[in-house]
Amino acid sequence: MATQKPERFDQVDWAEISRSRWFDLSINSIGMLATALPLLIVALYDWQILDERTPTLEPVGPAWDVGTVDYLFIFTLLLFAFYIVLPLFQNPRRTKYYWREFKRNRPAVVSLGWLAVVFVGGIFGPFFISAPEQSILTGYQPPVFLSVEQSYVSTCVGDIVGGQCQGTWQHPLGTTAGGKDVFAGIVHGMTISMQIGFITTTIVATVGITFGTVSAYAGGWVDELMMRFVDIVLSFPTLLMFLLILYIYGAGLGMFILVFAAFAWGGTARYVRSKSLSISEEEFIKANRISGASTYRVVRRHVVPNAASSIITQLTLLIPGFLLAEAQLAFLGLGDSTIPSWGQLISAGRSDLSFAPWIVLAPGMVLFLTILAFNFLGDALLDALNPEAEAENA
Amino acid sequence: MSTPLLEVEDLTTTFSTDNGDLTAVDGVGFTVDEGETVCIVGESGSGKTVATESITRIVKEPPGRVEGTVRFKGSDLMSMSDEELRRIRGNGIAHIFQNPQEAMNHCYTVGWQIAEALQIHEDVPDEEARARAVDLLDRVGIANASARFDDYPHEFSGGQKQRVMIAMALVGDPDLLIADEPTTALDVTVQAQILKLLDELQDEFDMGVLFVTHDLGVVAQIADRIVVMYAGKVMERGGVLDIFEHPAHPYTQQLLNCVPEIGGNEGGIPGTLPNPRDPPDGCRFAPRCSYAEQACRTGEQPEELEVSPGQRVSCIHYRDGRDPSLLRENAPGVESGSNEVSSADD
Repeated sequence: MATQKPERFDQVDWAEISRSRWFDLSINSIGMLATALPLLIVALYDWQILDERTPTLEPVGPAWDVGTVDYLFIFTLLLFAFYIVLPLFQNPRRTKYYWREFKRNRPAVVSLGWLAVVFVGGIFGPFFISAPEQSILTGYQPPVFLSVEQSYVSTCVGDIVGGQCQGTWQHPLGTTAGGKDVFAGIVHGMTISMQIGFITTTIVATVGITFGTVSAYAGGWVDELMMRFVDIVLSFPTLLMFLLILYIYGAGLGMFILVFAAFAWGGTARYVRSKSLSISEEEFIKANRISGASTYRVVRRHVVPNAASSIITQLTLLIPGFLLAEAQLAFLGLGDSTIPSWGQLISAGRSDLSFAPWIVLAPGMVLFLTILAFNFLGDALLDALNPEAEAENA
Repeated sequence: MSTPLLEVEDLTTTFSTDNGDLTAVDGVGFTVDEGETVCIVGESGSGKTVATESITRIVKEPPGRVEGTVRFKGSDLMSMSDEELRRIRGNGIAHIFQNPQEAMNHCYTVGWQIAEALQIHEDVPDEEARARAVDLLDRVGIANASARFDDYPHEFSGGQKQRVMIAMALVGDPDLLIADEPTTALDVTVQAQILKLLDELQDEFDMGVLFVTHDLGVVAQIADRIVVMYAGKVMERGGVLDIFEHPAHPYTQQLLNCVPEIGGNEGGIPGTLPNPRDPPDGCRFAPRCSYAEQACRTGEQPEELEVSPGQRVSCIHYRDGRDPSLLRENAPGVESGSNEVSSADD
């Protein structure tokens, strides 16, 4: 620091401070800090000062009680914005190149569009569409343009034509047995899916990349030990572990994310390790070492960025697994029944499949399309970001 | 004479492999003075590159093992910690490589990489690093440097890439530049430009240059002194004129014989390099040498003998009481009358 006790700002040697490393942060890191710190403060305030039942944002207006998963979700969104989206804008030439390569894959462009809908719907949807509410009287309303026999419905919202209850725009995708609006459920399910996707990916990426590069660069018995640990992680029965936790402590969405991410990073770590090893043999790594760069610098600035394209692809292909796992658990009735996930919706409709198939089909299709989109996206990203892989295909 | 810029003595680099130890560089010694160009020549696989990489201990350890003495400006690099060595690398001793294509990170713009090479050693703000990088790009002859700062390596031609590599090496203002076959991957016209550039920059930056090559044409253009390596050993070293005009070692003679421009026979040297895991006894070159006798095939590599001022050769035919003149018969570049070993200056 400039002075021991800077009592007034004009006594501080700002020039010296601006010369120091602390202020030499990139715009991305500054943005990240500037947004993550208030988030942290709000989270601490929520955790320490507010009592559990008071919704966090009540003093400001909306009665949205921000939970742990929400904080993590917002944090990962910030990471995504400042370290993936912002660099794309900072580097328009590269972005244009990627886009040119990417758009050659038509299904992937459609997939990206669909995922953008899910993303935007998941983030902003809940602010405009209130969470589906129980209303026994208006259960089993059919989707718009479709109809259902009057006897299944206690109160038909739309017209009754020839003993058939017609669907209305009030419930575009119909309602469940409990009268919950399926469309609203799907929109709120988008939030859950995005939360699962983003948070697990961030955890897997952080642990996997750190573990993989450290293992590759440490070598010797450290490498051996770390990789055997990865073997253990990979052979661990995640589902049983989750069920165990569920039966002992009960498990919500947060626990699901944590447990599944905690056992999913093994593959990424292994992948990053092999990638790092092959990159560290490249001549430019030698050139970098020879100009005096430390190992940390080499890994941080050269190995990871060069492996990034493959890592991103690999992570994109991991997300569908998590979404499916959540849906499966929900379908089996083992999920968090308090959250409006797609899986919960599907599970709610499974007994009424014979006469009210929309309750299962609508969220089922959305889930199917989302998973398909992630797979297409991963495939196209591999081609766009990693020219070598493309060359192998050609 | 003052202490040389770089002093290498008894440098030995061994790699442990599954099939036993492999000694790539075996007791090599040479010096480089300030502002001087020293060329290491020898055929592929003779340990030239490993020798240069052993100087800053960039050779991977393990499996490599570097022994011997390397003194740079009087301080011993071999006893330095990794931290101290990193300060020498790039700052004191810089490298350029054979293949500029692979020596650059394709994720970043060339300007970023030059600036990074600077910021590794000095705490300079980004704008200043950028200014210095643009200045250097300009000095190595990249037209429109400030615009090309933001270009990626694939947008440069091979010769331009090598220029960028040179800029990257010079950014730390090194005292010694190690150039490992920097022109081998380039075509002849570009090669000439790069050599000229290196020559100019050497004066400008007042650097010593250690130049590794197998191209004797290049050696003739740039070298002050030559170190001839064969199978990890130094066969002969001396001033460029001495070696080109009176090559003493049979290997040097045969090497020069392979250069068509100076009357060589283009036939090459019969035989191949010995297996580095199991080198022959005695002189390493003996199995391929037409003058080899029984004494050449036993014991160690012969000691270096001074045949003319500054020219030293590792060959038993120059020992006292022997007549080396028979080695002179096929030597290129020598007129039949001047067979005297000691007539170094014309």
